[in-house]
Amino acid sequence: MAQKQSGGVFGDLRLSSNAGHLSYYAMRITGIALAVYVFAHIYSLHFVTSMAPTNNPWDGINAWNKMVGAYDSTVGHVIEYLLLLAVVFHMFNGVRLVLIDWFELSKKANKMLYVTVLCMVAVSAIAAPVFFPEIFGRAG
Amino acid sequence: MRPAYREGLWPWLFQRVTAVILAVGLLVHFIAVHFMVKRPLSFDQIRERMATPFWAIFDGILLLCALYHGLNGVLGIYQDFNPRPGMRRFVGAFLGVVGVLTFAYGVYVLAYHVQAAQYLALRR
Repeated sequence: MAQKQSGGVFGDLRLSSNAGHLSYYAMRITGIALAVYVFAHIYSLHFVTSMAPTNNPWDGINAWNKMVGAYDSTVGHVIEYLLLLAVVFHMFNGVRLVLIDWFELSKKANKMLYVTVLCMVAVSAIAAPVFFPEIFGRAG
Repeated sequence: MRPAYREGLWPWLFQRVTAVILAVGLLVHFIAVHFMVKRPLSFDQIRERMATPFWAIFDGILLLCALYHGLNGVLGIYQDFNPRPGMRRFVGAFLGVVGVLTFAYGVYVLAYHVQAAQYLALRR
């Protein structure tokens, strides 16, 4: 029988918040968010199939344009930028984990986490003007 | 001692294999989509890219890897909470069915993208 862990789901974070533990939680959380995003992405793009019942391609194209155009607002930009942050962290940390697994770099694991976070901050900073032209002007 | 394949070798390995494929493929996907986009995005801008089946097939493979990696990951998180073996198998089967159905629907959506893009490409 599984034992009920004291302190709740995040209880162990208070006991041992070292680099590996934080990266474990962050990978899980960004992973769930991205898994949900896959379905949201398919939903956003499926509107082109509204040409199916009428066999008129413009039904699909206009419905697609309308849905995708909804991302042109500031809220849409914020959603896209949050997606970028989640993807960049999950990808860079994931590459770090694969390197540790396949090249036996466990001793350098924590140092690699600092490099990962640095790369993530750099990419996110460079991407911010592209995602928010309303703040940064047409710098994208 | 049970053999490795009974202790979850293949899901572990494929999680990493799909991770590498996704890391490369998503960069390509993002660059291909992003550099033709002038806001506001319209279907017209992806007309040329989607008219040839290459990008649709590429996106289909990307979707397969993303679904495997994501749903396997969710199963891994569920396993961290130490469920009964029967429940774990049930959740695993449920996620597998969700993955297969989503992939089938994704292929259907991609096929319509190609059809609409070819219609637009022929008109110009």
